[in-house]
Amino acid sequence: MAGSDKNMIRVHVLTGAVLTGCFVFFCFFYRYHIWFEEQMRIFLLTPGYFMTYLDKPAILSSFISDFLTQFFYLTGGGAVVITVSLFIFWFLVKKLNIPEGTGRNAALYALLPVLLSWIALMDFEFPLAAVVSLIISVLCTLIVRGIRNRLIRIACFFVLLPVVYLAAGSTFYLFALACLSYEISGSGMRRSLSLAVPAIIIMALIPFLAMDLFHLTGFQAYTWISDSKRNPRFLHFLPMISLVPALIAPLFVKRRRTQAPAEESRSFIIVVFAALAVLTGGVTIFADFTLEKILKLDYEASHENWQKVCNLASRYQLRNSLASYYTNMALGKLGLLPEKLLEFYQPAATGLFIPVNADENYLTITFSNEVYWQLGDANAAQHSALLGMIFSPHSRNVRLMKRLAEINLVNGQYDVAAKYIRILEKTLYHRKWAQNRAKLLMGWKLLPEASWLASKRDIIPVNDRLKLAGDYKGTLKMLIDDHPGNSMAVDYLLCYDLLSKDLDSFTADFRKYYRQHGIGPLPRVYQEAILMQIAAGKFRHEEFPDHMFNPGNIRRIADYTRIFAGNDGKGSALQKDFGTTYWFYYHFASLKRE
Amino acid sequence: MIILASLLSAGCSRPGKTEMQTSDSWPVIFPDYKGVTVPPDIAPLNFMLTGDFDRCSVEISGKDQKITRYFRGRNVTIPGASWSKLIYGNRDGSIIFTVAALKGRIWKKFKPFAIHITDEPADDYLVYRLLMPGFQNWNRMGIYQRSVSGFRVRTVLDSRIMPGTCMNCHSFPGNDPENMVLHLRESYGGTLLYTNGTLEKLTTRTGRMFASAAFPYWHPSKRYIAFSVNRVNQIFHAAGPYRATALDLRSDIVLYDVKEHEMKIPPQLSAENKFETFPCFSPDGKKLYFCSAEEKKLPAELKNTRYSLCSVDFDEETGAFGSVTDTLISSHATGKSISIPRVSPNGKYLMFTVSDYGAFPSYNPEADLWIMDLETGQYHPADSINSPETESYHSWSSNSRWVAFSSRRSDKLFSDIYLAYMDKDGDFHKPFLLPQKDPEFYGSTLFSFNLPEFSVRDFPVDPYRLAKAAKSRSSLQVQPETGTH
Repeated sequence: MAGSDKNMIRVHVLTGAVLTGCFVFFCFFYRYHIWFEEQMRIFLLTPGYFMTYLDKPAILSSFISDFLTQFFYLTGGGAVVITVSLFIFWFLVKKLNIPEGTGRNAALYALLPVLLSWIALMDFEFPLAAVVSLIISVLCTLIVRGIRNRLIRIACFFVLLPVVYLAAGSTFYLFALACLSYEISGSGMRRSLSLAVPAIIIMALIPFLAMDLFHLTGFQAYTWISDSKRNPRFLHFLPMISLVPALIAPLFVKRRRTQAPAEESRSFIIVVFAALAVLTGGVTIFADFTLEKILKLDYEASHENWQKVCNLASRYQLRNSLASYYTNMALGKLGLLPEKLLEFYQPAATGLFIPVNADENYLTITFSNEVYWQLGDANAAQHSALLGMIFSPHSRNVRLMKRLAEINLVNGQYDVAAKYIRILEKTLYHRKWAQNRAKLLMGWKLLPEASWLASKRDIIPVNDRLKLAGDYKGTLKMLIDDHPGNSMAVDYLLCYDLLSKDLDSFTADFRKYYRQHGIGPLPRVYQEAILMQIAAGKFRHEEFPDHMFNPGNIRRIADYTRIFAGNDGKGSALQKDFGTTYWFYYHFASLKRE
Repeated sequence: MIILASLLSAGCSRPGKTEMQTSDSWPVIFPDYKGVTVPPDIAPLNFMLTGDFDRCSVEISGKDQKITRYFRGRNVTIPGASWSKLIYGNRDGSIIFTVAALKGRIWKKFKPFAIHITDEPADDYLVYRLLMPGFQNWNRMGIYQRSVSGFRVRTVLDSRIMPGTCMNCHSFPGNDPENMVLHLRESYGGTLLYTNGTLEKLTTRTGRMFASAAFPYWHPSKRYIAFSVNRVNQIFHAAGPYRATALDLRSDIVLYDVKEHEMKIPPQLSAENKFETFPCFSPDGKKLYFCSAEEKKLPAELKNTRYSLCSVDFDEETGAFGSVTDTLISSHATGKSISIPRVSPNGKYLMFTVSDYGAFPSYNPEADLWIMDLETGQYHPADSINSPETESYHSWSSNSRWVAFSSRRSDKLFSDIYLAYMDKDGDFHKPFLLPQKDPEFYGSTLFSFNLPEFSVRDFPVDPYRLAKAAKSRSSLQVQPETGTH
């Protein structure tokens, strides 16, 4: 086999390995990012929906990427879409035949922007539209370059320049540069100057005109990639920038001699190691596996797999308020919150609710309605969900739209629910969900699928009250006042007091709201807090029958007190045996900024 | 029409005859344009049939003209040029819509309905704000101008170029945007004033004012602008159809002298123990109408906070208000709360919003529009334009014949703009939803329309010019009235 053929095979094997690695990564190591991405959008198969893309640049790349993103809903769908997109990108860049030389070098070089795109795609803020946009620009470049007649080629170039901007956004710079470098390398610098100067002027003018047409700031117009990221970062341009040296280098550097096979092999090995280094570095810096775990918790919580959430939380042991948020929710649903509260990281009471304000990001605002929904505060869940929609990248969010449909069904606001359901009926993968919910608009009582509706209506507030946003305790008390059997709300209230170290409120609220006296002992954290309060004289021992306390706990508090006093109140001596007790939390836990 | 319909469906559907059935019921359409009264320059009233149909047809007939069209599906989109000709040729009369719809092999021909066309046009444009319902924060927001006779929308200001800025209360004297005031909050907060081709940014908080000036109303001379100064907070309902409520924790009315750049704080409109808000000058400029309530502890006494409709005399020469304020409609007598008074340009009527309590009726489902005859002092609900859901924020056309208002009647959450005609007897005709090119627009938009204001001409200022002025670090600091602090 000739050396060059051998090398070509090596290059293709490497490319195949990279793309396979990409598929495996997004399918198995980043799937929850992928699923979440799909939730942050909604794609409708209607002409009216397409029209909404026309009020900003990158029309085609945005539309295509949103169309493709709906397939992220399928298991492995996102991985397939990303891998195929990157393969197409690689293939087209390879066809650019850069740097000027043999095809095999071009194939190798084309891996660099692919790797950088892979790395960028790990960032939530880097949309698939950016890759599609690059594909469109490179494709248009190939089309123009494929025209043999120079005059027609140049005319097409100028015609396509604004078209590529409208279709693909700021990657039109790549199109312009690639076409210009082709002309310059073919015709020489002097002859091409008359082309380059007007091209540069038009390149500068197009976004300027777009500012007025699309109502963008100057920065947005010159850097537009997608509506979901109006102010992109440098990372987002790396795939495009990585092509620039290869495009302009041949203008200044003489064509290298063809390499000997041995030299080719050495070069190939260097490239492999360089690719591995880039990928490893990129994954290390930009992959957010902590977020992936949180998104997995979110996923399981959204499917109400509460035990699984607890199991995952135990395994991950994340020290993160979002992880605590879902862990506490699962514990609350399982009735285990006061038993296992301190076996997990608790950032004071901030792990119970997520505030909804302009300081939060769209991720947390999207999550914020979940706990209200589970607790039964439908109006608070609606408020959070509406804000989540507002702050979603496109102000359209299929997950929250489904939640809003459900909330309005529960509240009996059928007209609003119908609006959301009708919109969802026009999607590909949420249509069936919407059709099922649509049945509930007609009359739900006889429908078996309405059992969730009945159980939600059993716990939503009955009496209207006014409350401020962020009045968590007010919300919980209101829920309990209307439904004293809402044990999750009771546990959340008491744990809120405990995590806030407000034992006086805990004492008052426990007396007023706790009704779950059974035969066995109280949940662990309540026992520990009550024992503290008994010691402080705030509770009387006689209020509690003996069976409410584990005898072991009574001994332990004595041990704790002894060690605490004997070590001048230092925590180090207590950490090992008492680190998960409320007593330790009360004395030593302090909230630090994450 | 029957023959044509049969031919068409035979050509396009499965082989076999179609059957025509005549129904004695009206078609269920959205928007419901049956029996409405429209101006002679209104954009095509595109609508959709409710129900699942394969095809539909519409025949619109007037005195000497007719439009007949067939459509796939259930959406009816009327060609603009033919429509304009038809309705203009039938002004001060009616046109008849005959709708038929095909399902399977059966054409159902519905009972025809009429649309009445007046001889009195509305103003050329509507300027409104568009934002998503959120009650606390916003992200995408903008003020837009829509042509009443077509579907062209022009951006006045958009959050894309002014991120983080809340835009509200665009106000033009006499519906003419040659003079305009626009209040902005949060990022790039301030008040933009456009007069005589000059755009300036004002810092309006001065003297004893506890906040910047907010909701404006121009004096017809354009020399003065009355503002309310408000401290507003959002509060939320735990249950029921009320989602949120805005608390007006404190409010006064102030008067800005455009010529002298001075802010007057009249004591009779800034009493310590009262909330005064929603100023509105009469068209002759001799009176200021406003809403007033006794100060209450909020939010505890929110449901007891009710505003009365009041007025006070105004002297344009001196810029002074009368010493005595009159209560035109007392909240004690009605047991209701009044807000947003607006006098018709001809000075004959005053329209206002009535709700059970509070100052921000757009949150109250029971809020309705009422009308007062200023000559007789009689007032009553404008029943023909109200619905069981919220109606609020109304604006008169310059000929006092049309009213634009916000309503949440479609689904109780998203507010839309309705237009209604008032005839010379002072009676309102059935209102209609502002038409859109896509009949399914309202079914898919996630934005609310609010603060509609009629405008007689194209908005003269470029959004970038507005943005530049708003972003400017230098703004004119309004001074307290000379002799005051």
